[in-house]
Amino acid sequence: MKKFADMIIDPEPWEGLIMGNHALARAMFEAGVKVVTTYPGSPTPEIADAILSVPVYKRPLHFEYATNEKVATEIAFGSTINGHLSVVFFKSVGLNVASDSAVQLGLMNMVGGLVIILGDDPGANSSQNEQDNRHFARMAYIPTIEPATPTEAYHAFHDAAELSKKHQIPVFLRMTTHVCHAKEIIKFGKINTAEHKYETLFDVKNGPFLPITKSVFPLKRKAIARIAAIEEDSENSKFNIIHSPFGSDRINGKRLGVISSSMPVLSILENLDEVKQPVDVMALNFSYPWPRKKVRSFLKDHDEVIIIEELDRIMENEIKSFAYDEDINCKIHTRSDSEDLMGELGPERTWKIISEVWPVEFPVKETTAASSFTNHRIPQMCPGCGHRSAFHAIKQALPADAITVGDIGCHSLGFFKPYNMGQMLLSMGHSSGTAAGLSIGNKTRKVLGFIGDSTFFHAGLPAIINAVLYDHDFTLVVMENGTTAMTGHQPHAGTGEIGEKISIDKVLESLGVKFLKRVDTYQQKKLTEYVKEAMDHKGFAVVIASHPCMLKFMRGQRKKDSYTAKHVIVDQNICENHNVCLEDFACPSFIRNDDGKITVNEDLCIGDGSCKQTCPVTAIDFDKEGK
Amino acid sequence: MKKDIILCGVGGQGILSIATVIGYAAVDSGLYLKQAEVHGMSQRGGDVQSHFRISDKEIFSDLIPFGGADMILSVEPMESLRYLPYLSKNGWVITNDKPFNNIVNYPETEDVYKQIKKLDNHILINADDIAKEIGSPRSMNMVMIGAASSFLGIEFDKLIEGIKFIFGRKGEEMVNLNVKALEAGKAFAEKFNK
Repeated sequence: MKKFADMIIDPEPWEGLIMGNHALARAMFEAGVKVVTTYPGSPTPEIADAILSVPVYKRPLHFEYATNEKVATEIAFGSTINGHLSVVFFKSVGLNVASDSAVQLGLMNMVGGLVIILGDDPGANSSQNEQDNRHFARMAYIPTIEPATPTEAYHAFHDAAELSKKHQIPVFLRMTTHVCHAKEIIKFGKINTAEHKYETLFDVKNGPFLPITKSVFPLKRKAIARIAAIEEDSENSKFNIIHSPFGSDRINGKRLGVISSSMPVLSILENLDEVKQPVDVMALNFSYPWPRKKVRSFLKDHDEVIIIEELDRIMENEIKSFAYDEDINCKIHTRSDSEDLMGELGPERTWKIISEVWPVEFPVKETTAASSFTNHRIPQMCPGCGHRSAFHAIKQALPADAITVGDIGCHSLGFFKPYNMGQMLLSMGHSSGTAAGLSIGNKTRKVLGFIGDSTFFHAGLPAIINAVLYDHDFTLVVMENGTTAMTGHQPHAGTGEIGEKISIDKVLESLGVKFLKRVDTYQQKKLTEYVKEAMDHKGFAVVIASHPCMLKFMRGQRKKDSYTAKHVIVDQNICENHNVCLEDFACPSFIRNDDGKITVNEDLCIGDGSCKQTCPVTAIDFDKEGK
Repeated sequence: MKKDIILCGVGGQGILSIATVIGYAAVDSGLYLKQAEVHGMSQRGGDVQSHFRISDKEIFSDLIPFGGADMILSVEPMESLRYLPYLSKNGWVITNDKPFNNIVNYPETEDVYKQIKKLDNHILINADDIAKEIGSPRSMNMVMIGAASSFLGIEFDKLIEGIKFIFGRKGEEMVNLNVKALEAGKAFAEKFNK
């Protein structure tokens, strides 16, 4: 049996069960991609995992974890205008960060080709919103393909790369969470093993690359013309097809059709399979620009059509206005319930939408009620997590009316009970800006913001510099765990895994931060003191609350032969049921038994002992065998 | 042949290895397979689920519709109840009986069992104990596959091949222990499937 790392780079064709994200990595190797950049974010980090599984000396491309999505995009831009086929990928909201540069790309010539992979997140499974990046495609004149399955993702990457090279435009490959993580059997092709020379092919004649005054209109004119020309590619794309699994007969004298794209197409086919109805389904997975000729004849061929798309009303509005202009006599239905603009459109959701239009053919279904014995499991910090110690300690320092500003990362979980810290959240690195705003004219309430170490570098610095400059009166706690934890432990500028470690302390010192302390979060008393001092300090103050990610640490430990499980115990002779460990510190390893006694779940506890100091009667200790 | 299975449990309980073994066995049997899951925040002690579809014909969606699942295979009892809207009328709930108690408002275990026992087709199995008895506490997942094995539409030998596939690199003893766990799960479930 071959290892994954050997399979993904095997020059010969093979087939196997594989995840959408991993299939994209394979497609990059096959297509001869030369530069790949990203900033980690769900649902896309497994693309990087697959690329990095191949050791550097065997890896036929340059891969980079950039500081943020905008930097990643700019690297990809620089390399494509140097002639290299390039890829940049990130999560849905990553495009917001990248957009300042990304919106320019559609105006220029991507000489070597550029594919931008977007990990949109209908359902907001791991994002702060479920923004529909198809809007960006229109704004930035970037053609878009939206695969519905891992197999389609693999083929769509090849098509996107070809399209990009052919028209020298950037192409969006818009994945969604489900397509990224779905698995199925895929047949892969060959990898061209011819060695690529990184020749420096940049030439201003391939431009203009300078969108200033005189060139803005010509560039925009070219972008509009290119999108118009690419419509022909869309007409001929294998991603824009009609599925008629049960024929195209009339139902009660009418021909019925559905227009959809990406994953909902499969849900609709699933619905048809249940009732075996002869409804035609037009898939527009090459969704921008969509093929007007094909859509025109589909509308003309049908008496009634429902447009079903995940998230916003983009195809609905465009196709309806097209039908009006073309004077097409087809009844076009769209989603009537605004709830259907939210979340993933799985089979039960598309059934409901169709059922509201054609209730006879798709009758309302009865569903079993969910059991009332299933309480929600809130995502929580892991046992031993340094953030838990930090929140517990900081809480002791905070006045009850303090205002706390959250940020993106595992420490966003501090918002949940019992810590209730981080009362607002916008985006990566917003905390210092928002906290500054909250401190203006505020003489009564303390303001404290959080930021993670990866986020510090990603987008935190500009607002921190601003806070130093104006000496805004708030405290910033850097929740340092030495990795990009939430997305799967990727390295960042401060970890020392890529280049030489960039010290957050030194950066802050050199900026001129006047109050700066560092403490390990397991030293809870000291952290409480520092935060109190920081808040008493008039002006901007920073406390670096550091502890390595214990999930990452424990994964390393468990791999060692010498590893033995450790845990703490609650001495029942000492315990007075103050419940601090369970209710205030709230490590999930503590259990309250039916008799009210608190014990330790040894499967969860990692024996870090950070809980010991929280017990007012010191009833918690490492277990007696000294483990 | 078409089997739609909801795999569920809590992040970190190792649903992935169940999916890998059944997936390998299905592919090895020449069947179509689609699997859907959500990664991300769910890794941090939250509930996790995976839609798993096996068929001898082409499968459209990787998502199982409500009322469509032939089986809910859960490594945690409360989690088995969360996905009941997906269960088909004749579907089976096969669940481990050991609660993963990481929330303050976990319901009374007996109440959870009562709800499971109300279902027409259910197997409530002490998979953790069985795994411990055979000397491999971490093979709870394989016990669960064993319990589900006669409902999967896949030959038992193919599941053993799947175990060899994922544990092969860790040595023969590891393979044997996990096969033993698989067989123990099967033996337990046979009492229910008569």
